[in-house]
Amino acid sequence: MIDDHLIHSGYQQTFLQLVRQHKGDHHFRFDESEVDPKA
Amino acid sequence: MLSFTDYLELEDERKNPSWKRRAHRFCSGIDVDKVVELNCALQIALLSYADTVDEIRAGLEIHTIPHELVYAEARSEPGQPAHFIAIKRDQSSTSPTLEVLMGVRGTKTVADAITDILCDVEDYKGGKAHSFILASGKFLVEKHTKLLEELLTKSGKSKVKLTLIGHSLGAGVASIAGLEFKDNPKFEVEVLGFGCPALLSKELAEKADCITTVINDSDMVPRMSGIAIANLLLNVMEFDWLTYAQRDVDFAVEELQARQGFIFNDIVVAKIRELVDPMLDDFADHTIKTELTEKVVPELYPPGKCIHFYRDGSGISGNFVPSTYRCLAYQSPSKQPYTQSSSYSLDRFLRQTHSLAKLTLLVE
Repeated sequence: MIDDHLIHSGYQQTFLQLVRQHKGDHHFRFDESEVDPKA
Repeated sequence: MLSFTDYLELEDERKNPSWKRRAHRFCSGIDVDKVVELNCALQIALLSYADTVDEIRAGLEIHTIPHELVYAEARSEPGQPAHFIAIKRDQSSTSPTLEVLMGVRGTKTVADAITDILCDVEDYKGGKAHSFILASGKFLVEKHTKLLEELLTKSGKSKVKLTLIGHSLGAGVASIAGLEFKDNPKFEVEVLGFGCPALLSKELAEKADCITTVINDSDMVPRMSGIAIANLLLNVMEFDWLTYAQRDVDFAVEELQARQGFIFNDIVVAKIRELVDPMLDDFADHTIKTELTEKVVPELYPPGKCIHFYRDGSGISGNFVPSTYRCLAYQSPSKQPYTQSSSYSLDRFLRQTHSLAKLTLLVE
């Protein structure tokens, strides 16, 4: 409940997991490729 | 307290990943590019929590879309949240709009928490709104309309394209400010809120098409209102927790027998059950209320289009849902149902084991 509301443990983690799942890359990080969403 | 924790377990059982998948079956999904875009906006929401103006400026420099800081207030007062205004760099000279960003800080200090808790409702645009968030939103509009209009005049463009971003209370304030700025013909407004509290009545929330509210799985804040809490308490008071308590006693007794079978033999266990079972029955008779009162329909909802992300059993899914959607209407209590329930049961089990051990000594 609380964790899901926080930025780091909630929203950021969810976005990261979703993109990793979509790309099939468990090591994906936003820092390296957020400039180009399709990178 | 016992009934509350057992009620959470029941809710965990009911709102499992399969239930979530079915509940979202008829809602359109979101694609991965949108998620990347949301993450980019989330960095702005995060930046609004910075303690100093220099940190905000530095954060805007390295953001995916660099911005120039125009105004920043890094301290919050009740009804006056910290926020910043920035202009997008390298804007096209042929574009008719001036792109401006406003980040609004959410709950960080005691002063912010007070604003969160004081949740009176008042009339707003033919509906209702959370009064303190409304006041905070209006404060930002009154404070910055003149500045933004001056920037527009200096830019020579025809409209301000204002994007407001916030998290938690900041999302609520950004939403109200967005609705207020939208009434001004010089503004084009878009609001992006993460974990925005329920703050508008049904019709207003549904009509707020310039607002997108992002809700992460079981985030409690968008579902929380005075009525929602009252309904939860009524549900807990009516909840029949006896079966759960009896099961926990069974677990405790089994464990005692397994660990110290020479003390907790069948005769001792039978004595324990003779003592505990009537106590539980009696306690349940006194504490479980039946048919207290009808539940009240919540008055406030998160605003605009909602995107709900949820754990679907094999990963994460995200869907567009209406702000009044079934998944947002009730609180699903834990982010990882079985893990959290288990940790709770273990804790309670250990406490019961300790109590039963003392009880057994008394019996003997």
